[in-house]
Amino acid sequence: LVNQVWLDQAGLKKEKVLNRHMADIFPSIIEAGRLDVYKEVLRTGESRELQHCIHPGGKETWFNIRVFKVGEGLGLITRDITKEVTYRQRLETLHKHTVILQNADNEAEIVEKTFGILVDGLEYETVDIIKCEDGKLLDFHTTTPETFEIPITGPGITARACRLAESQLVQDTSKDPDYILGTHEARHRSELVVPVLIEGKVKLLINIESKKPYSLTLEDKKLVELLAGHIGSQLESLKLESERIRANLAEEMEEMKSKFMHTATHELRTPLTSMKGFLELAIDEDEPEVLQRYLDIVYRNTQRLEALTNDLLDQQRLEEGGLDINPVKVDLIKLVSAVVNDLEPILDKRDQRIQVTVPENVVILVDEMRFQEILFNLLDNASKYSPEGSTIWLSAKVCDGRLQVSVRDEGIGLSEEDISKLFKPFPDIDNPVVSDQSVGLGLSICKGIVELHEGEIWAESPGPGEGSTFFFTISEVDLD
Amino acid sequence: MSVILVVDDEPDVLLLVKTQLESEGFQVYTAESGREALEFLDKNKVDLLILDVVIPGMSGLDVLRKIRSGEKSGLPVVVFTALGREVDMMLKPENEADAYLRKPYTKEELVETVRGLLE
Repeated sequence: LVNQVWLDQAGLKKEKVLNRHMADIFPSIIEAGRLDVYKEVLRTGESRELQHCIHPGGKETWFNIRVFKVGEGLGLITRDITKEVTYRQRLETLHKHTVILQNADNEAEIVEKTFGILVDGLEYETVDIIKCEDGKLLDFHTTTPETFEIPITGPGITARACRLAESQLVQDTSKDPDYILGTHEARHRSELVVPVLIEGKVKLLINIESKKPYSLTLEDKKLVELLAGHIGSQLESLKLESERIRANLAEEMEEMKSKFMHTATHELRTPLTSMKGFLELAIDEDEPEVLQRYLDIVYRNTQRLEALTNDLLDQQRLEEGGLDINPVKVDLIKLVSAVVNDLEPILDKRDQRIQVTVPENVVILVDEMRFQEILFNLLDNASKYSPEGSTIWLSAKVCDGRLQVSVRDEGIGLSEEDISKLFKPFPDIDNPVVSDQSVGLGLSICKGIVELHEGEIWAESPGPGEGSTFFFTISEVDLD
Repeated sequence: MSVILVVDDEPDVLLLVKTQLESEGFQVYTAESGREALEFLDKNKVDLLILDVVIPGMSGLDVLRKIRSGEKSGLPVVVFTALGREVDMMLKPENEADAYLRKPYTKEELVETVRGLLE
């Protein structure tokens, strides 16, 4: 007995099969492994199953063969399981590929890898990954050359899938009222659209098309839905992660701002205290000499307050990118001499010496005032944090087309931790000689200005008590 | 005559407090750091201490804590603050000072606070 379906599947004719030995038709039917199975079925009487693959016309076809005992002979029932086997194979391929998705750390990378899985792993010919954003569908990654932008309220199967947030499998697009016959899609006849959901909302859509109607199946739908689920959860966890990072950053910024405000307020109140107090005393003072002394103190503190408010303004402008520099060509020696002259009274008071080593005929392109400000700040710090009678070295050299300036002192030195905080506004320097009141915005502003000149600024120190050296570079240098 | 010690790292503020209180008949000594202040307190009889929160080395808080846990735990202490978190820190029970003065202050506020504590 033999049925027609089996004959069709095996590509055989009935008259060529009946009354012939099975082994003549299918030599594989008596191959060693199989014979053992038959013998066992005959001996025990229990049925067994076998899987068998043939290639009629080059197409891979899988059969499940049920072997059972009939009287003293054997009966075989074969069933075409090609669909199940292919699905299982594709599922394995999918699982193997989804592992690579886990290493992706941004949306674009996930989409690109998904595209690869669909095209290379699952061998779909026409794949579109579409982004759903602000009520519009946009091409994200595609095998077709055309790009589009359509509203989700518009026609098309993709828009429908987006609206319903549900997969759409259309076996024959010519019968679907929503199908748009695009210039490029005229030949495509079966279409599968699977949405990728994040927190219940459609974020992406995977669109697969095939030239033949009924060639995309429920198995394809299951596979792509599985993949869409993976991508969805991957994108969701990325979103959560980036939200967490953003929240942390915002919190940090808030804390920094509040600390900045607190320190700035304290700094402003200090000169204000002296001004208010000595003015109060001055009002009731009749002695001209004493009065003069009080007013001198008030004046000095007004200057200090002015400098501090200027610093605060500079710091804010630097942070908001609103500080402009006006670079001009200036002679390095001229600039350095001016700063050293300004500094002399401060050095004299502390009996400190300065040794200057600066090359001649170097012209730099810098904002003159700002350059002097940086240099003055570094030298003033060197003096302030060094013992009386000590020496400060100021040197400049040109290397690799850049000017490098260094200021070395014999002062209190810096720990590695201090160096890392030094160029931030109002740093907490953990050094008993330095109160946090005397460390303000100076270095933070210096860093900002140096960076506006496309240079770098940094500090080095062998450790606390062993002096420190501050460096900065300027990139625009002319050598005569 | 009551003896007052003022601790602040600002020479101008030290001079100010000294001038203001001396004109009211107090005897005023000054210190620029916490260590200096504690040494002075060890060797001298002081009736009242005025302490800035922000001083070099040892903070004003550390000085206050040391005094409160030492022999002179009953010494009246006035703390200079500059608003903000310092106030929160200072208001913790273990840090409690006898009075707080916010900078910038008026001479009247200073003198009234000091007199109030010395009576």
